[in-house]
Amino acid sequence: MARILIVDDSMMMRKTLRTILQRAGHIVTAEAANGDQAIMYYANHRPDLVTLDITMPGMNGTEVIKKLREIDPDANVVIVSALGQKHIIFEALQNGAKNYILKPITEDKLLAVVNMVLTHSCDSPTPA
Amino acid sequence: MLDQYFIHYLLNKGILTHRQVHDVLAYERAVRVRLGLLAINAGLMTAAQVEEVHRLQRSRDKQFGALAVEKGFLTDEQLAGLLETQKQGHLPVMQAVVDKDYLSLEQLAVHLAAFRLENELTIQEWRASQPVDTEKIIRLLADFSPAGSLADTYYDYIALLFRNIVRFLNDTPVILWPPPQKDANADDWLVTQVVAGDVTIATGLAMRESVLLEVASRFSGETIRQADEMATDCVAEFLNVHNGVFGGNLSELGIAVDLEPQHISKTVERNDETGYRVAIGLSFGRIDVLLSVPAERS
Repeated sequence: MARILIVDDSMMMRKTLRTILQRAGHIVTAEAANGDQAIMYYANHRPDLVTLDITMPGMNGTEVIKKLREIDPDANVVIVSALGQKHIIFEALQNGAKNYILKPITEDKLLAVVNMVLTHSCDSPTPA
Repeated sequence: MLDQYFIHYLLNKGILTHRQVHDVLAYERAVRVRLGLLAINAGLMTAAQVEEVHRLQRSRDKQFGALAVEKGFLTDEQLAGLLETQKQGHLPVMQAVVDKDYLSLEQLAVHLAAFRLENELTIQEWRASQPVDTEKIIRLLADFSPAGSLADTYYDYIALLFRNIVRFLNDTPVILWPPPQKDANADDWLVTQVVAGDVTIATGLAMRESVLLEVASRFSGETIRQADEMATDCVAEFLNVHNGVFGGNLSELGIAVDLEPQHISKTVERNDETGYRVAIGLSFGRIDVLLSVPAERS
């Protein structure tokens, strides 16, 4: 079970992600509809993982990752992206995203990626 | 392919309404035996493998058979055999027109003769016609040639949208060409998204509120009765997913694009519309697809 922050400008996507994650036993600590909210909620809640829409009005996903990593260099960020955005995903991974998931979202796909990132995160040595 | 073209001919000549055409295509689709079912029946694939291929089809623009071969579930030879079996059980759309009592056999024969004459088709060519190919139908009915180098991209875009309407909205689209006159409420809502990169296209879907609610309901799998944020988000997400698959297809051709955030708005009267408007008929109404090069980038 992990504490998860959902960041997506689409209410439909937030609802879909929340339903799947909660059904799997995770706790959705907050939902942000834009980058500014995401940074504020991350600082307040310090979730174990963030699902982050890469395409949002205003601050885009890569900019959000950079800000999140200023708050927490070990932030576990999973990018949520439509197909056909390879180079934006690559840029996000280069900037510290841990993994990505392509729309349309399915339960299997989402939980596999979330669990993989959380498992690797647990395996990592905790900084002193 | 030609029987599908013929059905569009009947539509565009006003012989059948778009709802009747939709009924015919849906009936034909329902009667056609699915390849996955045939594969299970022949003991070539398990239900789980068929499901896996169906899931893949939602994110990759490939036919069932091609994906099944790619996954190693079928060989090329097995696929060819299944396609042949499917063809034998295929109900031509013309049969469906008669079964649905939209035209008598005599009326059908008259229109068919006129269609063949108009399109200069011999009986041999008619009989040799291939199974349905959406892109070919769109190329026959729509004319994007003034778009020059973007014409092929527009044809591909509309053909993919047809496939995604089947995949995500479970409906059978028909192209209305030339587009019928805009009615006062046709553009209640407009969702747009720019696909930007090596090629840049402004894409949009305009629709009545009733159509917006049905698209939202079908895409989300929930009943949505109000045109609230949830409803508009669902339609915007449908466009986003479609454009994402389109971007993936372009990427396979070495063309890099990104998607900008979608915008959705209640439409105001637009007198400055440029580009192309393609009307797509669905069982629950009409969606107009808008394609253009954004003004500041043309």
